[in-house]
Amino acid sequence: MGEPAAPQAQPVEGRSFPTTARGARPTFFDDDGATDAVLAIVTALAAEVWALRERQTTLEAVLVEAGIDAATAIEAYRPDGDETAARAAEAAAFAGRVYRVFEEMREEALAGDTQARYLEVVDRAFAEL
Amino acid sequence: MSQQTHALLPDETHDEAARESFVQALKSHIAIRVSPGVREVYDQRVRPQWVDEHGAEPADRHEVREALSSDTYYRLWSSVRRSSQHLLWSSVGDAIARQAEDLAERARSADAGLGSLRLDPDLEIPWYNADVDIHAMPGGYRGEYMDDDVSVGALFDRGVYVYAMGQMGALNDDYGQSVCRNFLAVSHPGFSPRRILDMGCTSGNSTLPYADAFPDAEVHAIDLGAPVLRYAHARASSLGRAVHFSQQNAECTDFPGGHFDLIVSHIVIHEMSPAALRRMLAECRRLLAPGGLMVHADFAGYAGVDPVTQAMIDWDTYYNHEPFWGPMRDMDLVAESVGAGFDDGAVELVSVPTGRMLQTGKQQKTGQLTLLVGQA
Repeated sequence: MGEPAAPQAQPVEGRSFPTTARGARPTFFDDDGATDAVLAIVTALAAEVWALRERQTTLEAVLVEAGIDAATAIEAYRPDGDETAARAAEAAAFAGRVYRVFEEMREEALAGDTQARYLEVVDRAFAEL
Repeated sequence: MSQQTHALLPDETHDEAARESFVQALKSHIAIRVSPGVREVYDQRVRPQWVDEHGAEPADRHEVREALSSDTYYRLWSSVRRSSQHLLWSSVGDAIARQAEDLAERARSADAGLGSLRLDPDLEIPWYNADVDIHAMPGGYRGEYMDDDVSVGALFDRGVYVYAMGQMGALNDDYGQSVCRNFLAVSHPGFSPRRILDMGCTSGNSTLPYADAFPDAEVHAIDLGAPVLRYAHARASSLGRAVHFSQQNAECTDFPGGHFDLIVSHIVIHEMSPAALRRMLAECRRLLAPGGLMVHADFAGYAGVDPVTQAMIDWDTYYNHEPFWGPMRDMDLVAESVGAGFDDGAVELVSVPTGRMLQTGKQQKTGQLTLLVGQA
C-alpha cells in the first residue's frame, strides 16, 4: 500500500499473452539455469510426444471404423503445396512450444526480473511476522 | 468425471486436451513415484552428511532445505516439478489464447441482470499481489491483454481443474462445498445469514455453493483482479446464480460496518502478506453483524509438524511462486484474530475433510482444510 503497483507480466513481441509469471523462475543447478532449461525443454517435448501418440491412437481407431488400411495409405500419401505450407506452420508452432523456456528467459531479461527480487518478497513477507 | 461446462469455459482441441492429460499424468507421476525419493535420499545420504559436517541434526526446515539444496536428486526433482507447473499453465494458456476474443465476447453478452458486476479501474493492486504472480500463473489475477479480457479467469478455472485432476469437483467448488456441508451444516445448523461475503473469489468457484446453501441470502464476492471478476460474473450468471461481484481489496472494502452475517474465503489467506492478512481480519470484524461468522478456509500451520515435512511443504514458498505459503503457516491465526478485534474465546481453528488429494507427496483419499472461525 502507498507504493505504485508493479507492472503486470508482459509477453515478448509476437505473443499476445505472457508465458512466464512475475517473479523469476527458480534455478536448481550451479550452471546459471542451463540444466533447468534443458529439463524444461525435455518436459515440454514429452508432452508433445504424448499428444502425438494419443492423436495417432485416435486416428487409427477412426480409420479402422471406416475400413481403411492406414499403414498402406500413409506410405502412398503425397501432400499438396497448401498442405505442405500448413505443415511448416504447424512445425513452427511445435518448436515454439518445445523451446518456450527461451521466451521466458527473454521476458525476464526484458523485465529485469531476477530470483533475487523474488527472494526479497519472501524476506519481506517473513519480516512482517 | 469431466469439468461441467458453462458459457465461459474454454474448449480444447484434441491435442490441447492431450497435453493437459499429460500434465496431469506427469504431476501424478512426480507425486507418487518421484517425490518419495526426496525423503529417501534425505535419510540415506543428505542427513548423515549434514550430521557429519555439523555435529548435529538439521535444526529446522530451513536447515533441512539447505542440506537438500546441493543434492542432485533434489535438484532434478525440483527442476522437473517446476517445469510441470509451467507446462500446466502453458498447456491451458495456449487453448485460451486461441479463443480469448471469443471468451471476452461471451462475457460481454452474459446476462447482466443476474447478480451484478462493479469494477474499479483505480483500485491500487497491493504489493503482495503485484510483485509475484501467485503459483506462477502468467498474468496473475489482474493481467489484461485485450479489451474486456477474461483470459486469466479462464486460465484459473480450467488450470485449477487440470491441476487438481478433477478432485475439486465438476465445478471446482470442493472448498466452498466443504465449508457449507462439512462445517456450517454440522456445527451451525439453522444458521440463516441475510448477507454473505466471499473474499478473494477469483473465478467464483467457491462462491456459488453459498448461493445454493442459503438461497434467501444476498451473496457478494470481491477480488483484486478485474479479469477474474468479469469471468466470475459471466460464469455465475450462465450457471443461473445471482452473485454481486465487486473489485475491492479485502483489507479495506467499501461495505458499511455490520453488513454481513457470514464472511468466507477459500485458500486466499496463504496468498496474502502477514500484515495484509491482519488488516483483512480487522476488516472482517468491522463488517460482521453481531453474532456473525468469519470462516477462512486454508491449510494447516507448521506448529507440531516435523522439520522434514515442513521443508517439503515449504518448497512451494521458495520455488513455486507461493511466497506467503510459509509465512501464513508460521502465524498464530487465533491470536492474530483476537489482535484484530475478535473476542478472546470467540475464535478457533477447525479441521474439516474435503474430497481432495493433498499435494505434499502424501497420498490421501480425502484432504483436510483448516478453518479459521471467528464469531462477532
